[in-house]
Amino acid sequence: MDCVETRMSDPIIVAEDVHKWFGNFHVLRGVHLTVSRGEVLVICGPSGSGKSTFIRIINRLEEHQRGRIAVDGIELTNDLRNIEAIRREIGMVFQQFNLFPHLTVFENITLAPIWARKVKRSDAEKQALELLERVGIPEQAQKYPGQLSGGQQQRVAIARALAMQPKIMLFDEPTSALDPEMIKEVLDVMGELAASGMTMIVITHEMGFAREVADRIAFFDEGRIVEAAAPVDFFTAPEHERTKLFLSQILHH
Amino acid sequence: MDRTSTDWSRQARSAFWFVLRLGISGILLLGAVFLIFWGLGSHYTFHWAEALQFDYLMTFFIGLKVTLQLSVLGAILAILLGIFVALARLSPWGSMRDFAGVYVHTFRNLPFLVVALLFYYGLGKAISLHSFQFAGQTFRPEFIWGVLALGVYESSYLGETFRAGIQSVHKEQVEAARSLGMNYVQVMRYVVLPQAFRVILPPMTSTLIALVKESSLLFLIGVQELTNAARQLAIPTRRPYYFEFYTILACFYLAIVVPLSILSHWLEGRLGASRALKEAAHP
Repeated sequence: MDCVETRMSDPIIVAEDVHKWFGNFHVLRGVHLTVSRGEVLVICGPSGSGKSTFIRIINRLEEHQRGRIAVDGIELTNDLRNIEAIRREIGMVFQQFNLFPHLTVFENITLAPIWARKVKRSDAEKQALELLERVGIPEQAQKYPGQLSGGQQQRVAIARALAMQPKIMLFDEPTSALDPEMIKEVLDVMGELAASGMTMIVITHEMGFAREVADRIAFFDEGRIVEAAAPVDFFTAPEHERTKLFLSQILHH
Repeated sequence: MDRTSTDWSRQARSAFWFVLRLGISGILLLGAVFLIFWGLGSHYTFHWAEALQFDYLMTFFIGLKVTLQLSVLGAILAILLGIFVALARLSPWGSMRDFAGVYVHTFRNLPFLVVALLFYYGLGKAISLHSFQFAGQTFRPEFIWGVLALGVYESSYLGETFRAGIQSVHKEQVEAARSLGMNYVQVMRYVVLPQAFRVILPPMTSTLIALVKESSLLFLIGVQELTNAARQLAIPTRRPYYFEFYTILACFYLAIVVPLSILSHWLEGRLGASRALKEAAHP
């Protein structure tokens, strides 16, 4: 039951028996997961179930202590060059946006391409404008993050991650810190991104988004993936009691 | 854009009031000083005309030049060493942290004069430095030891200031930058240090002002700086104007330090605007 079968070929993330402890707390207890190229995986589950820790391990913001993870064929080890190579392939969007407050929106987006990917400044700026068009806020380019609404900040954060031209995008509860009226504008951008063929792992409790956009939904509980299935099966015929209980709690309130 | 311009006009107004307040206080203080001097008139005869003659002022200006050189070189050294100390204090290696901790606590807990004496009479006797010429000027060993003592001593203060500034930047900022594939140096240079700077600036200015003032103690190891110039002039048997000379000396130090304070205040005002933006970015 620990093993989640692969529905599509061409895996881009392979995690086998991943364990993680914070001190004595065994937060991940053997996660097995394969994500295919172009797949959109939604992860849900109660807080403290380890889902956030798991995606932070994928780009090495946390280290796992047992098991193995490979991203696009590169094994996650302590080799710094590997870690930086993997991070350039993975974009990450945080719950609290984490934009750089001392830089304008435009500079937030061009910073990493110029320094970490060594793109020419003019090319980076051209790309930044295109990305701001894509997330729908080209007119905010010269403002500072503190002058934008939460929804706008999160869209800038998505543009900033996309500027590195990643193969995979990770979203750690991207709409949890937003006012309700701003959630849709962010989900719309994510939906378009999914439609463009991006590989995405999204931690969210927006079940409408999961139903429409996800190829697969994984349910985390107590440091394991309890169940993973296509949205139709997940919502209509969950196999495990924990999943049923969780769904009843988040769908009927 | 309009918001930026309001920030500017607010800063300009605030700077104007600051300078005005400073001016009024200055006039009041000068008035008080004048009254004291006037009251002292019956006990001490002032010879301002004699004390302020050109030759004597030139002696002061030569001393001023050396004090400025000591301060600038000492400050550069203190900042560079301070950066290393801060990075060592934040290093993942325990022994680096311990070493930097001992360095900081040793120098912070010594009087500057003791450090200067240790450097010049201690290290200076063990390691003999030679005078050297640079840009038409001779730099003597006591000058070099003086710069080293200032730099090392103040780096123990700056190191702690820098460490606190770096730690004030949210760790999520580092994570965001790391997740974009930036390496350690890039994260520091473009994300952490610019944000830490606004926290660092006020205490750093105080430390640099302290450095200028402490450089006056270097006359005790024979550096020919400003205080030494005043002491050379104020040899009572030859020119009994020591009250005048030391008053002039005090004015020279104020002339160095007050502009530094104003500059720092102005910079803080400018950075205050970005602080408001930063806080808005962390709801």
